[in-house]
Amino acid sequence: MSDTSIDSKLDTHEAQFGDYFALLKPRVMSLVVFTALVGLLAAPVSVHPLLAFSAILFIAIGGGASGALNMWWDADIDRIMRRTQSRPIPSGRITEGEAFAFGMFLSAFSVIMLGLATNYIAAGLLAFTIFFYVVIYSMWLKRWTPQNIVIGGAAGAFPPMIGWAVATGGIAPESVLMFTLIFMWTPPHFWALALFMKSDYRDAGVPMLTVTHGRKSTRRHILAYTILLAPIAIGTGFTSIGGPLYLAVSILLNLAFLKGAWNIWRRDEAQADADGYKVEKRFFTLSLVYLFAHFLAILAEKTLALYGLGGWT
Amino acid sequence: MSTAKTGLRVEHEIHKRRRSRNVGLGLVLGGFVFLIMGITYVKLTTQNAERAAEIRAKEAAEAAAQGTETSSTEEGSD
Repeated sequence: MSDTSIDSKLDTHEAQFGDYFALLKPRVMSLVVFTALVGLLAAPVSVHPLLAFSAILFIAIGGGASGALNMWWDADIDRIMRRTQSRPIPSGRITEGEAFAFGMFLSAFSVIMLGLATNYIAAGLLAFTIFFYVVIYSMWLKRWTPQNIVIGGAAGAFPPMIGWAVATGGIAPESVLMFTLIFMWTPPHFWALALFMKSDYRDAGVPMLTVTHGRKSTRRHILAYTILLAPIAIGTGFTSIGGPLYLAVSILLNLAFLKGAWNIWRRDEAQADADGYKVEKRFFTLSLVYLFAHFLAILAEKTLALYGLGGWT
Repeated sequence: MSTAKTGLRVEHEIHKRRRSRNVGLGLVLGGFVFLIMGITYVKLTTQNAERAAEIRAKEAAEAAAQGTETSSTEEGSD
């Protein structure tokens, strides 16, 4: 092998700054940032803006670090699944070892910095979230049980609780409700994705509900979880983080979400194939709007309360 | 292997390839330094203000207690 061949190989595989950023799963991170920020701002204790900014930054880095460790662990299946083949490790831009070191360093860094900047309850919750996502979900549940997304969804549900803990230094019924809202929302959201990402999970050997119990059963599960989600989402409207505006938004969104789940349940594979999974894709998009709008409504209630308009008082 | 001579320094081709990484890391580290400075300033000023308020409250409580003692002594001497 000549020098030239070595150089050209390095040229192809040289990781750029953006590749390391991609390891942090920026799209997932945006959800983490938004929900943590709402948790922090909805809390009854105000935080200095710089400390609030730092806390959100460290929570985002912690979430990103768990994403990097997830990519390190799942590199083998990411190479098989079409959706994940362009990620930094399967595409050869970053080695598995680099991703592991990067993820471990950022995990420790984010937890320590959050503890120093705010409090150790928030830091402990962040550490537990990283542990839950990497060890409980990625290493244990994901390849073992079709309930992977149900239990693993807890990892994505922790950020508003961490945000709340940053402000108050503790846990409250309101922060648990925000956790439960995301926890119950996650299964229908991912199962809708699994319905139209057809063969990806089967090819990779991931026991998604569509693979182990069939698509008809997945449609039933989506409807069941959507029905269970509605009272939690609407019930949150009667707590201190809710109010008339939140309640109106929640009722409308839950009606639309229930209708979407009902439509998914009524269809069979022949109908879905015929229109290119139109209903499932629409439900998936609606699920993103659903979560975003609920947290935005919580934030709106808090903002209105500053002018004596939000909440129930 | 391409190298470019600029005065006494030789810029290796690897420096060009890794420019985005190096610049990005430099900016991140610079930003981190400023963030730590900011956090330190906020924590110190907030904690000092809280400590000052505690001391003022303690002094006020002590003064009030002394005032009560003095008035009760005066009442006793009458």
